[in-house]
Amino acid sequence: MGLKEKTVGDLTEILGPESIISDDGAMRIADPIMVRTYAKAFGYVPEHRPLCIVKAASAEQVSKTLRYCSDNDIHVIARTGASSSEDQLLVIDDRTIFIDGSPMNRIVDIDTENMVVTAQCGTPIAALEERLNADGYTLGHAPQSLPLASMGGLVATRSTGQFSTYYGGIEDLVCGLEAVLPNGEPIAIRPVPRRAAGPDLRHIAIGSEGALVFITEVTVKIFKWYPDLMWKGGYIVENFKTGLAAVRDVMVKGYKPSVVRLYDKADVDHNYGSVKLKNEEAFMFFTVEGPGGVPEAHGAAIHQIALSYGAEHIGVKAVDHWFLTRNRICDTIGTEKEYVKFRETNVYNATLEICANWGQIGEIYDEAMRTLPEVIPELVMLGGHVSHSYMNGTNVYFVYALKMGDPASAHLAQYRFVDAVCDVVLKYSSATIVHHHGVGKMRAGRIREELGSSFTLLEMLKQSIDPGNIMNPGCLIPIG
Amino acid sequence: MKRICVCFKVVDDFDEVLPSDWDEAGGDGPDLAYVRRILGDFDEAALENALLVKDAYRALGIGADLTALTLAPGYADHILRNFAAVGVDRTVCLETQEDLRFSPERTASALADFILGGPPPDIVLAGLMTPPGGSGAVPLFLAEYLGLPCVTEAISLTPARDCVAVEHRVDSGICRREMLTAFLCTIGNARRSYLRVPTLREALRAPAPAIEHVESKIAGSRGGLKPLSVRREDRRRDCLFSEGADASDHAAFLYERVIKEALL
Ligand SMILES: Cc1cc2nc3c(=O)[nH]c(=O)nc-3n(C[C@H](O)[C@H](O)[C@H](O)COP(=O)(O)OP(=O)(O)OC[C@H]3O[C@@H](n4cnc5c(N)ncnc54)[C@H](O)[C@@H]3O)c2cc1C
Repeated sequence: MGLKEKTVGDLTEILGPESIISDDGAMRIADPIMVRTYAKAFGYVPEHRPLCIVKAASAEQVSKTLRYCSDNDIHVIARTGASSSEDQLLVIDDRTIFIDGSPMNRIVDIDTENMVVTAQCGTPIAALEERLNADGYTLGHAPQSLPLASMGGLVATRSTGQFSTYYGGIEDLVCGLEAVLPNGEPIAIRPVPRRAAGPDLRHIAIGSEGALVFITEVTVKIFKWYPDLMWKGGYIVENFKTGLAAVRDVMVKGYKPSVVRLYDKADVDHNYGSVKLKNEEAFMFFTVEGPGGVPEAHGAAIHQIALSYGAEHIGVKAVDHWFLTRNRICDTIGTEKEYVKFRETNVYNATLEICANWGQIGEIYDEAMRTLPEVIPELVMLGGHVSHSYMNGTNVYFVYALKMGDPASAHLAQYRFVDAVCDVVLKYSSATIVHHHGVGKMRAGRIREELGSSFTLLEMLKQSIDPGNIMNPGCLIPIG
Repeated sequence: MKRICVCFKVVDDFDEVLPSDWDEAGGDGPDLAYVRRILGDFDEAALENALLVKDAYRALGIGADLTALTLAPGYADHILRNFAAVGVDRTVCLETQEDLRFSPERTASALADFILGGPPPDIVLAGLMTPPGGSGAVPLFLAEYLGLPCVTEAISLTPARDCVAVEHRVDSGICRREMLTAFLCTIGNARRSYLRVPTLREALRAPAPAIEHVESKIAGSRGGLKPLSVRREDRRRDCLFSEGADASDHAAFLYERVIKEALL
């Protein structure tokens, strides 16, 4: 009996037939976005396919499955919303199954006294946010992939949202969680407001990208939601560098905008289009949230700072337009139109996010914009924007498009682009090669350089939690 | 040397208009100042098909020169700057301050003035129409003004030495014609509909995208042309609301009110 038949047979016996998908066609849903796109546009068939997908309906099922996989050296890729972008879900061998946590989609408890919500890993964030909004609350977490992603995946990728400058990334929101270890043992980290009992164990699960544990349930903070009181301001600045200086000033003076975005012209023209920019001009906008008094006060101060950098105030239309279109990309993923366009033009659009201190981010942006077109001949478009700012620095989200000659080598072109950005970023002491999409398999080859001497801690964690290396091998930590 | 001229239009992406602006829109339509400018869908297909024709001529050893012609494109540098890199030899923007919305004759007249002012083209291509609000009449008037036969709703063009095979949609299906040049052709739901994209390197290597801005005197309609008959197309959309409590109610409603009616 082949490994597929045996694994499917055994898991069917353990979990019941309704929990197992093993039909090749149906399993296509397991393909990561890029593979799906290639498959549809060019009939591309990935080299490796999963043995089956386990639709896990409970922590107990996850536990039984992991125990089986641990005992039989079957590799496991956890997934929930399947929107991850760094090849986290790419199958790289012929002994892998998916554990799909999307059936675990219950909102367990909304606790408005203690301002937390507990949800199972497969709960779509959009459903949870909608539910909270109806009662006047918000998660404060709104990734662009809001229509696609689920709570487990968001925590597992250490994701961040469009309003992060005010609410923080997911790591600032998670108070507690439940998970299952690779050997099948369930664990729980109780949600408390703060804890000083040793290292923060939440962080073993947050950002672990399915390479350490399977997250079954998360408890995250919620916030009072005041959408009608939001302050907004849109500006055109002379160039990206001036915009960076203005954004830095807003942050270091201590103002708390929720959205802070600064776009270069290439990005505006290619993706956004709402502001007609000349030459080197850049588009910058801010929103401020909070209870009455706060948005006006912070907004007025931010406005003055923007003007002091020579910014032209263009009102709120362009900002409203961003709100209207901010997640639209999710509607185009998987559509026939997208595949036809891809097939006809061979152009693949992608993004890459990095981050650095204020002192270096401008130089990194300049160097990347200057050198990448030289080293990546397939580039058809390169632009960038700032979307998540901090007291000490900010991110740059490179937006790029590659023209693929041959679909089979497309991956290589994308990996070369990613490597070229890493080459630039790793030269700078205050910079990181990954801001919020996770490392996946795409940037795993550079994680040693990224973490430097602390990489050994990650290796030790992996070794002790997952000694058999069954959890998403090659993701986060490279093989070999 | 074959001369190809493709007429195109840069339009506002109406998908991006804010709902509040639709609500507040007056007679002049909604505020479009902040929405993305894009190539009209059919015009994009016309440009790509013009490039395909140029490629095909080159494969036959015949030189071809491609002019892309537009009227009052507005903010469009991000669209036009790549034209040279993909193979457009000349990009001409006819500039005017006049409001040419809903004036297909005057638009066609301005385009014709420019085309007739230069060496006569062998093939003129234009998108079938430019939504939103496009009448689809510009290419038809243009063909008349240029005195060219017009093939509508082409989906592909295959040049040979002495003619061009044009596949185009007609009511009964797809018709293939062999056209002697010169002719005008509107591009409909073509087999190739997206404009090719140059790499940044190709764009850098390409000749500088000299976009010619030419003042256009819009003289008004050339007169003498009257549509033989004009009729409003009878197109309606009906809307039914299913107010059932659950999926099976909705399914029953769908079956009774929509599927059954369609089948009977
Ligand atoms: C159009 C688009 C926009 C995006 N915008 C953003 C953005 O604004 N911010 C942002 O941070 N990211 C963004 N992303 C990336 C992606 O949406 C996030 O990485 C998201 O967190 C993935 O969630 P998911 O539920 O889809 O996870 P999946 O894709 O299912 O999985 C993601 C990773 O987490 C692991 N995983 C999933 N579930 C579990 C679990 N229960 N236990 C343990 N590990 C698990 C998987 O193995 C994988 O490594 C975007 C992606 C797309 C396609």
